[in-house]
Amino acid sequence: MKILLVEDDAETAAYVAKGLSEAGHLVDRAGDGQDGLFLASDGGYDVLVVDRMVPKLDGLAMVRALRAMGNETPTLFLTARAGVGDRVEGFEAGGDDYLVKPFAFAELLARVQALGRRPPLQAPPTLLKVGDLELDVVKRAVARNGQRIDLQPREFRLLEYLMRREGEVVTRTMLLEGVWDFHFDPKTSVVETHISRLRAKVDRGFPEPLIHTVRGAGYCVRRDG
Amino acid sequence: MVDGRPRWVVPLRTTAFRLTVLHLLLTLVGTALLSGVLWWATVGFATRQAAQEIERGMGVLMRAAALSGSTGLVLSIDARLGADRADEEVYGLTTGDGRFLAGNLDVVPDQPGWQEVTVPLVDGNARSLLLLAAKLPDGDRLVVGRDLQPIRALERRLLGAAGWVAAGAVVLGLGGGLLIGRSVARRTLAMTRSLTRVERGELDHRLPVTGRADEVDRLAAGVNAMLDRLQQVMATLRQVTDDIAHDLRTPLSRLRQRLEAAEEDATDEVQAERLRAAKDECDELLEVFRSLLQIAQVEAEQVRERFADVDLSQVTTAVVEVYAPAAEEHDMRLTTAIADGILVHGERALLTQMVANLVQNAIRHGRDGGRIEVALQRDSAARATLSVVDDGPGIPVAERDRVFRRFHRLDRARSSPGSGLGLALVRAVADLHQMTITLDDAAPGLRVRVTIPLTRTAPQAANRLDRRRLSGTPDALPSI
Repeated sequence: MKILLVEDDAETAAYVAKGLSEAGHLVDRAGDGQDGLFLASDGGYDVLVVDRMVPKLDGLAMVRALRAMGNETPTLFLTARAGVGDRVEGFEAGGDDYLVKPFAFAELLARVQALGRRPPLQAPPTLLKVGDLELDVVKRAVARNGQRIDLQPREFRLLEYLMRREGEVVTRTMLLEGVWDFHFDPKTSVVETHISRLRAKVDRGFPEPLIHTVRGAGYCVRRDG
Repeated sequence: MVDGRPRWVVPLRTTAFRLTVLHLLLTLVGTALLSGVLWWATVGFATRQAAQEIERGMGVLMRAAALSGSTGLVLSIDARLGADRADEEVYGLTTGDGRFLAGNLDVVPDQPGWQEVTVPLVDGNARSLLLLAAKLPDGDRLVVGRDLQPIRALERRLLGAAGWVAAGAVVLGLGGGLLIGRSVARRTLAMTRSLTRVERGELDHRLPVTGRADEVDRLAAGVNAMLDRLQQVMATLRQVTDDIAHDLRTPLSRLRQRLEAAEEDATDEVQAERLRAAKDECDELLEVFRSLLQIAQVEAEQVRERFADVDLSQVTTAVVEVYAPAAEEHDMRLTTAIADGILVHGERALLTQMVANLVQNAIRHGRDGGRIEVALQRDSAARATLSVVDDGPGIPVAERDRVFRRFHRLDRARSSPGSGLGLALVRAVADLHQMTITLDDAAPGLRVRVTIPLTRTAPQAANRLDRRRLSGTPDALPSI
């Protein structure tokens, strides 16, 4: 993927750029919002990673300007601000995801890749399929190999979240945000507990496991091979 | 206007009205005094003058009696009556046994001296008379008097006039007081409303200034100047907050990045473990910053603009679920009694944080192997209560207020994790949402109760209860 990184802190920029390059992405860097806007408006990027506080034109204003120009490149905001409503401001400005510093690089990578793979605006499907696992969002029903699986509401949301991102790495933090609406780290093993319960219901007794653990990063729902 | 158009102000409870009433009373006292003085100067004067004339007449007649006896006296009386054009003078002369001798008064009082009587005159009218009676040396009785009718008429007019003045003072005073009170009350009410809006977080709002440059305007201008200053301080605070966020969090983040990188490159497990510990310390520090900034923002920022209806039942259920594994680690039984569909006007992330901090606190300070009960119940259409109860050592009564202070930690809690900011944040979030927190003894343990004002409720979900066990020993019923 071609990624534009708008970050004024040289060390963070180098760290992020290095990591993204190692993961096989092409990274351009801009040190301030004006350069960022100039580069981004040219188009051609799959994902923008924008620090909220950059010189000349702050990140929010930059993305707002881009959106006003009709540029819809998926954008991940980085910020040192974790204040009340800062997230909401980010989304209102046209951001697609929001990551508070400091972050584990795996977290950033997972989110950037998720954004890059986001399909262009369209109605999300209501029938999800991964291998022989089927989830009907409308009927709230899950079946594997035609066999009905009973899930608790939260387990259902968790599975739906994972299946919508088939093949993507989903981090613990993303799950806390997306499934529990928790925007801070409670430092409990709730995700692990629910994943293991989900595994017991979805994968146990089937030859091919679908819920995978990605070491040091998170989880992934996919078919092997 | 937030509260709609100003309604009719009841001015009875305004300072202006009370001052008017006081002023009115003083005016009435003044009117009474003036009337009294006027009475004394007119009616009193006329009465005194009449008495003097009576005395003079009596003296003259007594001398006439002494000089020329009864016959002379009769002549004198007739002469005087003849000369009295105004028909005001009264004379009467009778014998000692009451037989009429002369005058226009046929009944003479027995007792000598002054008296005021209403007697029928020979012309048939009854009049109020001031009389001076005397006994003559020969036993005849003489009375000299004056008709008080003109004086009484003057007195009546005077009283009438005083009454009108008093009535006028009352009407003008009360009416004026009501009007003044109303106008002042309107202005002060407008000011109070403005202040309420500012207090609710509309820091841009200012008190109305009419431009009359009176004392109310000066007061409003003073308050507005103060608000300007306050807003400036808030802005500075926000700036400082941002600076702290940026200038401290950024290097800390870098430090964390380096530690993470070093941990990945670590060659042996001991080294990796040390680096991980250092990274954890870093996280802890960042967490403290996060909490501090959050408290500052909640206390200062205009978070209320972002308020929406939040399903507190959902929030509480999610929080309990998220912390269930932690409770399990401590062998705690976590039970819930969460009513469905309790909607609160507020900020979701903050409310989540508040409930989370309470549950986390209960897990940290409760008893290992004990129980925690989280309940969210609707008390009435307008109120709900969230309670988190543990059976740990509780908090001594004397400490209960202090635990809400930043960085305050009970002595015995110093060994357990936590920054001492959790409850401070809970208090800040509760205050923001107009919720009240009380700490009680759960005997044993601590009961934290949050009283929640409700906006509206989902009617179909009212009073449905969701009682579930989330962890712990099988088949255990929620203990009471």
